Amino acid sequence: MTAALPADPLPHDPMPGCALPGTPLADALPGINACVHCGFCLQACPTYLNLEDENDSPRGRIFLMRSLLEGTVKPDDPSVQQHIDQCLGCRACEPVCPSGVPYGQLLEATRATLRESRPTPFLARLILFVFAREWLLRPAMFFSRILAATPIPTLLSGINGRLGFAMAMLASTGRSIERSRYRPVRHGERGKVAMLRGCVMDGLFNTTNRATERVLAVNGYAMLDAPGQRCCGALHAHAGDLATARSLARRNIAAFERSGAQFIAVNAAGCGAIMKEYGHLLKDDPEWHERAARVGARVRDVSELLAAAGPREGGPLPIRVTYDAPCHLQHAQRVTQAPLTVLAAIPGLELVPLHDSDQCCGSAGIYNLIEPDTSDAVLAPKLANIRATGAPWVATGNAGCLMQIGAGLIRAEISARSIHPVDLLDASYAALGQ
Amino acid sequence: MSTQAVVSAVKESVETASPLRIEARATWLDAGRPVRAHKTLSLRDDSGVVGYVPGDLTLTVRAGTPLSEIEQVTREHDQWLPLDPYGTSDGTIGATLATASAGPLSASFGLPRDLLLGLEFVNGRGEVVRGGGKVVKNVAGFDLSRLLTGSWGTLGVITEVTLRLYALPKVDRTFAIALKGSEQETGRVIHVITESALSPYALQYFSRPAVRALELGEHPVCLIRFGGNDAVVRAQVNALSQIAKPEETESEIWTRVRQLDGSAHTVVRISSLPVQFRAASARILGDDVGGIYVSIDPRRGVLRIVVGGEDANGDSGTAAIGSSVDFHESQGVIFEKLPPDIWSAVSPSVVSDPLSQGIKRAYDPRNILNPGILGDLM
Amino acid sequence: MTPPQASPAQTPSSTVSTQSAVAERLAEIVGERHVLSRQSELLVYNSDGLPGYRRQPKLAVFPGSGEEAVAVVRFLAKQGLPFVPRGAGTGLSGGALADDIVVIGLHRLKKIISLDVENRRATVEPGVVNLRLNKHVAPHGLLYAPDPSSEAACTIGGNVAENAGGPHCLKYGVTLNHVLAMTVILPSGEIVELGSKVGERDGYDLRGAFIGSEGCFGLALEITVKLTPKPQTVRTLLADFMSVDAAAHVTSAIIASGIVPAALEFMDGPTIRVVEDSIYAAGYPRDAEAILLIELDGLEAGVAADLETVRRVCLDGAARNVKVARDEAERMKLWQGRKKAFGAMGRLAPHLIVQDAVIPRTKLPEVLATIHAISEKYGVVVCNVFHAGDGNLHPNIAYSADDPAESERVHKAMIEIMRACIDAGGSITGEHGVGLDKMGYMEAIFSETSLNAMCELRSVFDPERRSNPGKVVPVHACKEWRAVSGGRLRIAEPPAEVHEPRPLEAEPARPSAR
Repeated sequence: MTAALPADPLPHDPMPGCALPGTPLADALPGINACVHCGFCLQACPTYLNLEDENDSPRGRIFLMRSLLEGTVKPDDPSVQQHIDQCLGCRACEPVCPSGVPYGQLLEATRATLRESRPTPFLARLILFVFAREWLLRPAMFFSRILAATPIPTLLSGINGRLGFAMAMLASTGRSIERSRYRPVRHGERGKVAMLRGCVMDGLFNTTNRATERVLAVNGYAMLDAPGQRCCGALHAHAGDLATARSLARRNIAAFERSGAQFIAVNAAGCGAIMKEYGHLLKDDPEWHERAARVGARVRDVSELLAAAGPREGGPLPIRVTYDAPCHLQHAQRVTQAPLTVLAAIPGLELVPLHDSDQCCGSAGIYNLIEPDTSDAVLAPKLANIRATGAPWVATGNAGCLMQIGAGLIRAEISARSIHPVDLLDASYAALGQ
Repeated sequence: MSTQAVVSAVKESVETASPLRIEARATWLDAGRPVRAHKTLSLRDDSGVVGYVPGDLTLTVRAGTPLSEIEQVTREHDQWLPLDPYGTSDGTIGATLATASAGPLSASFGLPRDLLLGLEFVNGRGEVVRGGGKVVKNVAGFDLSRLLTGSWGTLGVITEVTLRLYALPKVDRTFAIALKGSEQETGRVIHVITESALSPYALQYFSRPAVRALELGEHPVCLIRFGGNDAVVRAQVNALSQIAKPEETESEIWTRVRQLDGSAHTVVRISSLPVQFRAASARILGDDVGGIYVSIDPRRGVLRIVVGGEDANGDSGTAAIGSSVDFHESQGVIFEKLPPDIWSAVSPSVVSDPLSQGIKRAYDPRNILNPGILGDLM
Repeated sequence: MTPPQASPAQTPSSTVSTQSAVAERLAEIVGERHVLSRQSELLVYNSDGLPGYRRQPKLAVFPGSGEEAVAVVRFLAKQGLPFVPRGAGTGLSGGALADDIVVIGLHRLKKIISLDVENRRATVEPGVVNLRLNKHVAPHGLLYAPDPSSEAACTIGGNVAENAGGPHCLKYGVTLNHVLAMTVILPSGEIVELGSKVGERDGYDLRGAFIGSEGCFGLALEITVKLTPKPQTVRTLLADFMSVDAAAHVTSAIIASGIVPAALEFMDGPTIRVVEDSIYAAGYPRDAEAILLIELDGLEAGVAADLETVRRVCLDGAARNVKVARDEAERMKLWQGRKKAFGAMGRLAPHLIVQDAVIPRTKLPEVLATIHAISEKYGVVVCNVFHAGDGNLHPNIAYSADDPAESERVHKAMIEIMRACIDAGGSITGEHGVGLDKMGYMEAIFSETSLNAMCELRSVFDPERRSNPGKVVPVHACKEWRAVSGGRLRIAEPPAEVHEPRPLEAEPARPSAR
């Protein structure tokens, strides 16, 4: 063939002068550029699968981020804000991304940048305001705890809308497994551990916090106190309030440094994920960056510490349990086996496989209160899958997931309860009288 | 004969409005198909290898090349074109592709369209067109190769083709299993063979009359052909021996199978879901009507009825087909061969849909290439 | 938004449809939420898996059922509006881009309509993701053989449009060999059945013609595919070499030995190192200059014998090491590195050209050497990761498009690489399709009459050229077509009863409603 070859239609992808210089999003450009637009993330994304629009997929949102920087869309464009808001932040896209796009960080940077051009919704603002202030958080949690102890949440859990869902969430917190008391023998040969008490965990899942201390002690960890610790800041970072997140992080870093602990145990996956990334959160803070990275490197999910210790086998607990993986444990922290190892240490416990257990439940921090429709849409298949297992217990290691799934089960009248794996191990140790 | 000669012939026909009957060895086109043409364009002499790089396992030949020549050329390099259409190896590759004729090997190696990589043809305006290419994988442009395969020369005169070859297996053995038991027992054997992990090159069941013609005995027979390395063939033969009593037979038998329809006046191919055949196989194979040869390829889902062997009795033959096969349950009833006078009555045009008509009009606007062979333009 | 090309005087007012009027009618069919008309929401639909190309669609519509899809196509037909079908947008030829026209996204049509285990076939909607189908049929010991590297995201409908391949098509064949039948809606709105669900069919192979037509012939709304039994045994080998040439020769030697591996994949040194730096690090030796990933499957006994043959061929061909995956986990890890290699190249530089060409297998050593020389000449890094068994090359170049000088060098290098493949007797695309990206090369491998024959075929399926206009075959190659200003397709002499394809009118300026 003699035809001359044509001028190759060369792809080009220029980034003309950045439209949003000096914003957190502009800093995130290298992460945005890592996206090769392959689309492998689409099927991993719960909002894409439910909303069926690529604007609600990781690839689409990254494209919107790039467009914001290019200036082809404006930060005050309501549809851009909507699609960024609708992201659960579950980070299920990260493990499937071959280019290693740090999606969670891009999302936080985008939300921080968009925040400057419009107010955060009132409800979100209120919740974040309370969580950042110890003097408001304590009474709020106290009130919630009292409320949870009354039949009120259960009575109101059936009503439509967010109030009903919130009540169901509260009602779900009072339904842990019965167990007798036991006093762990304390050796402490595995090292010193301080625990993040957390806000929701401390306020509504105090049983789980105490169980965490006991099971770690049984497995040879010496438990230390870390006074002065605060909310981890995850909710704030996810919502784009990086300033508050950083300020909370600094307080926690100082508190855990003071504690002298080798490991920082976290029993809420969302909190553990941000704490492991404190170094990134404070990357531009010369005074704190190094310290943040050091503290972050000591953070462990409670299941990681237990798995590293075995964990020690407990007494028989003949129940059927299914396991749902919290997004921030499996995707953000890439911890997948440890919780199963914990459950495997319980004799008599029958683990029933949960279809699509790697899919998000729709909790995503306070997302379920801010974007209720999408959250419900994501939750629905989860509940159907749980129902199909017939298991009376759903184990999951994150406060948000415990309440989201717990509330969903109550409202869908499925006779199953959500529970933290640590509570199950604790009950198993209690059965041993150890 | 060259492509240019074909171009001249077609152009001349266009100018003189005299349709062409396209043939090479004139074996398949002798299927009684009603071609309305007084002139014949023969590609018999347009044969020979154009390009063969054994390392690429691809072969480019002129369309008039007989299958036997391809067999001979490739065998020298321990390769083959696993195409075994019914008839003899004197048939040409061009006709095999134009008629999409496939034999027992097709359940393993694919139909002719699956072995074709690219082709050259002359359309009804006398223009030379190429589709596909000479490499084993290619998605450049719309797929003209598939379009021309099975078009019976009505869209263009195929002049050159590039084919995918395979290495000849180290071992190639054929076994016959006589199905002597009751209908139920035969059904069981068929079921077990189907469900087994065996992966034969070819697998066919033959009715009693066909078996007699093949000189394989008096009972329905399963012919099964294994190929590959020594280990894989041996393992399969052992496995087969657990199921039935296979007797090795010479590979030559397949040549005879292909020639069963030599003197037939009617060949009907019925294709359906493989499971439907499996269910009915035992009953169909049990029928014993003189001169009607039935063969079943359960994997491809094809039942072939050859009527009019030497001892055929026309009337009972037709009746037997009707009794053996439920036409309503199978969609693809394809007449490969019919007595010329009943074509129009039995087989309506297979290209009467608007898309096929449109393609025919685009490629052969004057209707000079094998007019009528696939039925008439509406 | 770009102003309309046609002046109002040229367009009869009776057929004018404003963007909002069209959007409204489409919303009546599919629901408001599934029609996008805001420019900011359409942005993400302006590119597919090859983001170097961007074309801004005017509207996007996502039917949620086959009936809705039919209604959408018929509405557009009535209006004479052109459209582009789109699956998951993972294509690598810019084939799913819509230049100022309507995108029909078929990703919501994701039902697996039926599965017939006994007859080994399934009927699916076009939006079913390849891997989803495979997961669905796996419990029955079956698989759907074509496995493009994007299998986790790409749709069966897209696979049909592109005639997708994949590593395992060396032995099992491409999409064409696995699709039995389709229910297709033609751009005119007419519904036709191509192929046969239950048997073989006489007449022209319209099924074969439709597969790989890149969305230019219409939309497949139901697709019946053949399923393949899972092989009894699968063994995967990793052979590493200190030279590209040695690996290329071993590739030919394996094919020549008569063994048909299930897959035979090649990765060169730069690719190995990119993969090993990614989260898909597969344990490939970082210091190797080439590796071959070879998979054998079939009956236990045969595979064991072939494994020994392949091992011997590799070692005779100067392989440094031949490692056989011990278990399924190790096998998956070896494959992950291969399947995610393209994405992993995103780490090298912000932009990536993923090239696709086929050469005769015996030309591998020669062409790979030429590619290496070209890369040195232009100072670019070419990562070669490809289906060696098929001779299907994927030379990829990571670069920064923001650097005009580098872009220029990359541009020239790619042209020379394609030239080398064509000169070797190859094809310009083995599995990515022509789309927009390869259209300019079509005339280098096809004559004018061949291209015209393709145009004619297309005109039968889509006489008005409204489905995916401006793709695959260059417009000027079609005798009776001509381009009008702005490159939009028009029919030269439209028959009186046929509506002319035309652009949507731009919306009159008005304050934002939201």
